[in-house]
Amino acid sequence: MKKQSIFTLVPERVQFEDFWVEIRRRNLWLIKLRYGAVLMLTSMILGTYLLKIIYPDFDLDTKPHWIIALSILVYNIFYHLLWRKLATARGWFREESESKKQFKFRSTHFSLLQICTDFLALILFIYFTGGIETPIFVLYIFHVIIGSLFLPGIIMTIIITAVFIISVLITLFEYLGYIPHHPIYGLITEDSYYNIQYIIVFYAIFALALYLSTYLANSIAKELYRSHRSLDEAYNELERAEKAKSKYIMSFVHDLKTPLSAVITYINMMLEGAYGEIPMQLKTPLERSKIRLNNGIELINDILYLSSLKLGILTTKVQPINLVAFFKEILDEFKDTIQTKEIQVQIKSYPDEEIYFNGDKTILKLAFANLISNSLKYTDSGGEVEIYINDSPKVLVISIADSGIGIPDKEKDKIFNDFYRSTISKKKGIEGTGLGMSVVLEALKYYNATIKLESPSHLQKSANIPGTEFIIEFKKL
Amino acid sequence: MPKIAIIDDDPDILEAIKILLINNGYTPVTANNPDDAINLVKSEQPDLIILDIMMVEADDGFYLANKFRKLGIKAPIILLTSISKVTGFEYGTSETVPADVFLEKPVESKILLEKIAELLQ
Repeated sequence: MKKQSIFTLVPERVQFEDFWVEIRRRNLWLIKLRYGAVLMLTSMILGTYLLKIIYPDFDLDTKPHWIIALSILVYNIFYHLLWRKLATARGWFREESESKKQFKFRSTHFSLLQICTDFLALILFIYFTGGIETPIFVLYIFHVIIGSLFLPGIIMTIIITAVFIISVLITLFEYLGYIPHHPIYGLITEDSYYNIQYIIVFYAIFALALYLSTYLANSIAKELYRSHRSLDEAYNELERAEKAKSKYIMSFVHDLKTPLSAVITYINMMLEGAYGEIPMQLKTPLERSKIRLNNGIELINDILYLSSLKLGILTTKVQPINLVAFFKEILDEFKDTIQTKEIQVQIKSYPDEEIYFNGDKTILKLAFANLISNSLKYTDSGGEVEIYINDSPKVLVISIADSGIGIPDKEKDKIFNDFYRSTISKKKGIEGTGLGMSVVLEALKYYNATIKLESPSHLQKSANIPGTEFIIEFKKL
Repeated sequence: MPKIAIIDDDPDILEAIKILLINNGYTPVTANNPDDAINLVKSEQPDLIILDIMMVEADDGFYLANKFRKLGIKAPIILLTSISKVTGFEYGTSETVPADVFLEKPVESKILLEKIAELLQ
């Protein structure tokens, strides 16, 4: 594996899919960074003109620097075009699965090319700025760090060794007079390049700095990749678990509901006379069986709603909801009950007729369909139910009031408990699962909304039937 | 008499809907698995198809509905489901699910007959 990394330039630590995407992104980042470097270089050259005015002693031959800056700009434009070409090339996204024997110009080779040309430009820039006399030498460290973000440690070590040898050779040739020295006049007074002790000490420290920073930068990059990969793996694992959970719940509900559905369908048919006239004494037991089975289905649905809300596995779609239309839609589902019990239902909206709420319709419906269903269930024939929407800049208030049986003071805290059913509803024989309010609470929690209960409500008919009012507040950010 | 195909792996649902349809003047034909369903629909050419979503696999209904459309069968499709919105799936007709109506089990006979009459018009 380690040998292979020399040819593919893929660090052995990063054999995961995102690696190529990441390298491509970093290649572009390097290109953008280089435009900045060209700008900085130009400013530096221009700065020397300014220094010349302030300090007449200061002087530097800027011609080679202009050529270097221009060359960097030209090869960077070329790299930018090459990056685009590679990004749109066929099979580009599958470079990780390419045959290892066949050589292919990969993103990592592109990184290597970029880093090598940068080192070359820096070597030339340093040579024309006074060689070992220049403070620009420290810029090598930046290049080592950048290079280590792209390339395997071994490749970086080879590159910096080459850089080191070339730098030593240049200084040596300057010392021997084979090539001219380009000093920054007025910056260094003594000719250090001619001082052999200085050269030895300088290069000893330089070598240490180069190899140490390569080692450190590479270790950090390695660690970064490692944590990136483990995060990636943890995320995939979570996603798999989430899917398994949803699938389990779905099949559980299906298997639980299917037999009940079949029995209800049969009972419906019997009650409708599909199998001929049914004896009078069987009619009530059959009707009761149907009600009890429907309760069972309702309970399964409630448990499922509740667990999906708690587990956060509901798929949500946030959209603007026209609240009046939304409540009309819910009431339409209860139209049979409303008609049979002759309940007066009103929707009031203030300050506008059309108030919009940004949210997920399914979750909002879970909360309000349950509250409205309760109001209709616990209100006697001829009673009233009122839905009031009040919108203000800071808060949206929706209240559901009824003229029903109400909730005794001592039970007010308990109604939000799972499976709790009020004593009056039990006494009156009103069917229910006791989970409706828990569903309401969980759904409202999704919106950080608060719910307040008032009994008697403003629709109170008498002391015996005080009515109930739920006030829900959605705070706006 | 309009011919209606009922496809569901639950024999009781199949039987109950069958009797309901006969009593209301329709001719039902039935299948209880996806393979039989394809053969049935191909050979019988029903005027309407009632299809359960979850059979052997969780998405057999969707698969079959798509398959029927690919085979050029244009009969309206009613999809029956036990899970529907409960799991957050707001079922609706779309290109991927070429159904005309979604109904949640247990279906009230009245509602089922209403939808059948509507779609056959």
